[in-house]
Amino acid sequence: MLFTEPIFFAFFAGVFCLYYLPPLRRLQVPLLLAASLCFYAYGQPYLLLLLLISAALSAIVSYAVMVSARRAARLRWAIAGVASNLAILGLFKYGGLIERSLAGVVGPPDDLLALVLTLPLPIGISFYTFHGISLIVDVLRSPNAAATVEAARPTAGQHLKHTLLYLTFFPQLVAGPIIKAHNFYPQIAAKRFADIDWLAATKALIVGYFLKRVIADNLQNATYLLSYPAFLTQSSLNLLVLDFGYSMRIFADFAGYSLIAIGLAKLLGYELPQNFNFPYIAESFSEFWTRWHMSLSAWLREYLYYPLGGNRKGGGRTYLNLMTVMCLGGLWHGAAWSYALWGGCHGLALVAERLARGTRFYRSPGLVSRIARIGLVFGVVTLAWTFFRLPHIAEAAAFFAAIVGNRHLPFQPGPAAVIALYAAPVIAYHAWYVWRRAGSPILHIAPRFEPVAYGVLASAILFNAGPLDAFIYFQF
Amino acid sequence: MPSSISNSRIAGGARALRAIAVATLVAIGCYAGLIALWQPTIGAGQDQESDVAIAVERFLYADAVPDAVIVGSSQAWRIPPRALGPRVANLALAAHNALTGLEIIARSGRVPHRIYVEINMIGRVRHDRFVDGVFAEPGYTLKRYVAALRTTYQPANVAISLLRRAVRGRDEVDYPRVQDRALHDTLIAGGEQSMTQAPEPRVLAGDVAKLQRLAGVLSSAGAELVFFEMPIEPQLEEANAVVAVREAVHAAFPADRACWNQDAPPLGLVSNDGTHLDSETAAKFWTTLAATSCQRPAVAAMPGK
Repeated sequence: MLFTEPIFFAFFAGVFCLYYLPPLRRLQVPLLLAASLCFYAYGQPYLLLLLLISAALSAIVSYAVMVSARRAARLRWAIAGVASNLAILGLFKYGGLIERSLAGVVGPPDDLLALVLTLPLPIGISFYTFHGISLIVDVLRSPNAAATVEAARPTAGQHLKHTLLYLTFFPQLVAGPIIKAHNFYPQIAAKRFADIDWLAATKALIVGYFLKRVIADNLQNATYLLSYPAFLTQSSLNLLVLDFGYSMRIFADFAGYSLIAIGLAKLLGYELPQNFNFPYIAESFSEFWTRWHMSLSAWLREYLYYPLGGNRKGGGRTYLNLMTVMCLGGLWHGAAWSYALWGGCHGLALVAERLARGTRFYRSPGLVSRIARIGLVFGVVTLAWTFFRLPHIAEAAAFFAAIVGNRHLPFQPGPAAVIALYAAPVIAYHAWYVWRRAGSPILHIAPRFEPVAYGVLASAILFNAGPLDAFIYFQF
Repeated sequence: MPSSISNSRIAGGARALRAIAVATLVAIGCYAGLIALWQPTIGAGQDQESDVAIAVERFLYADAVPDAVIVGSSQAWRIPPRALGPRVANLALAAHNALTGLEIIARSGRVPHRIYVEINMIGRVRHDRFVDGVFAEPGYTLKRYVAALRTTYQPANVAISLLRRAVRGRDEVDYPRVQDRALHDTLIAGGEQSMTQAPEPRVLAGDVAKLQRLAGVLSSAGAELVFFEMPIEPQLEEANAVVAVREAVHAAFPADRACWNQDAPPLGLVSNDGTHLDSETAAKFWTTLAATSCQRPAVAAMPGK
């Protein structure tokens, strides 16, 4: 079920009404849980079983870690829990990739494994397994484990209920934002209709739906030529514009989804973490990763980069850690080597940036230098998105070759104009942030026009929505 | 103290929410009113999918039923509106086949005197949910009365249409000839590749049966059906995909019972990619197609095979 489908609006309206009915107030958690399971089962009913197994496993293991008295026992439980979550992710998401990569080295899979490999990718598996790992590690780390995620030591039944809700909470079930266990559990409490932050929820939903339905869904059509072999017919300049358009689309799609998730969660009384913070104005690659998919970056930093040693073990080890985290982070996005390559590109960029940190280019505070740095980061990030759009490395290579080789073909202004039209609001969105940060005088009159801006965005959702399309990150 | 702060925050929030709601209603009203008064002529939209939607809406919501309608695929879609004139509609839709256009005509009840049925892509493209989407309520009825809700009048389509008119002087779907020789050869090779595989027999049989049913319904409603094939490169004439479709449709609609345009296409027709003509060439082909004379009675309902 997509947040943009009419059926979802009916579903959410029904859940919302029941949720705040005073007689059902004590049943809010079970109701939300039932709604989340229905939401998930709507698209892939048979894969609900996998979600339930994964959630139950994380609940049991985390409870065992919580109640175990000895450190060694807690560690054993935690290792088993993390390994089980990774095994589920590995089998269901990466089984096909491993099988293809090892074809010829090992024999064909047996019948059961072959059956598993034919299953479609369970939606949201990357997110709910990461949530499970976060829960287990959070509980393990704290000296007072219960207080980390639960206000007081819960009963096994309560912990199971809370964990199921944490892992299946439908606004963030299929594509995040990834919320850490110690941020979610304390929020599990009875919610009151009067406490809803309507204004913040409305603003998040308007901007989210605008980014998704107006920008991303229309750019989906405008950038359809960025597929093999269609792009071979395009001029070099058109190819660069297509890549630029895809860069705008993936931002609008995922930032839009995240804002919708945040807005929906607010209506149900929950706070989800911010996931995007105007990433395309980043002046460095390290800054980019504090602004793009922030919840994943934070997760990777906390649960992978720091445990690997972070930047505390010397230059060489830092570079190795960066490459490891970014390659694995890339592979987290999809079961294809091109995603690892995409992550590797970002890892290399981060390493190169660290090496060049002392140069004048990076130290100069001047406006031109800052614009050049933003341009460099945006250019590299945009070219790297090619591996997302064309997950076969050979196709991506053909695309880069066409950028170089198709200079003789005539530029077609029509498709470029459409991409420019839809990119303009994304650029304006970032420019507004830059002005706000710089304290521009325009901001003194801006609040008066804020309702008008939201009104125009809302009417654009009605009049200019593109063809319904799935969220890009649902495939991850 | 905290409760008064909270109350003022809530009051401020409610005021802001009300302002957003009012601004939204005003913006919706202004745009709907503007389009109702202005009703600009939109020749083509921002992309091919919009162009398809615009063609369908032009047919569905026009005051008068056109004299003739072309139904088919992206191949007949290449015939430019300037060649057709105002009394002929083109429901040959890119990424669809003739069944989509026929079903739209049948479900709308707007039956023209003559329907030109391009058979090239029968059995070769899926079109299951598109027509249901077109006629889904309440959108179908609302769009009749609130023009601004149509894809045709999306702000982006209006903007791009005006821009195109300002820069090029005309605003319509147009496919210029591919001039670059190497690119043309690449496209032809791609076209040849796509025609090597015949459609799945079950899908082809299903489409032909549906074609028979729709042809029967529309003939009964008074339309004369003229079947035709869009010209393709000579070396593709015997490709598996072409032969399979041609044989299946000819068997269902034999020439002694159905009207076929069997005139040879004008000499010098050149495709862009083996199967799709450029707009100028497609316009030339239309002149021979429009002149088709049907000596035989219109297609009668035929039982499925």
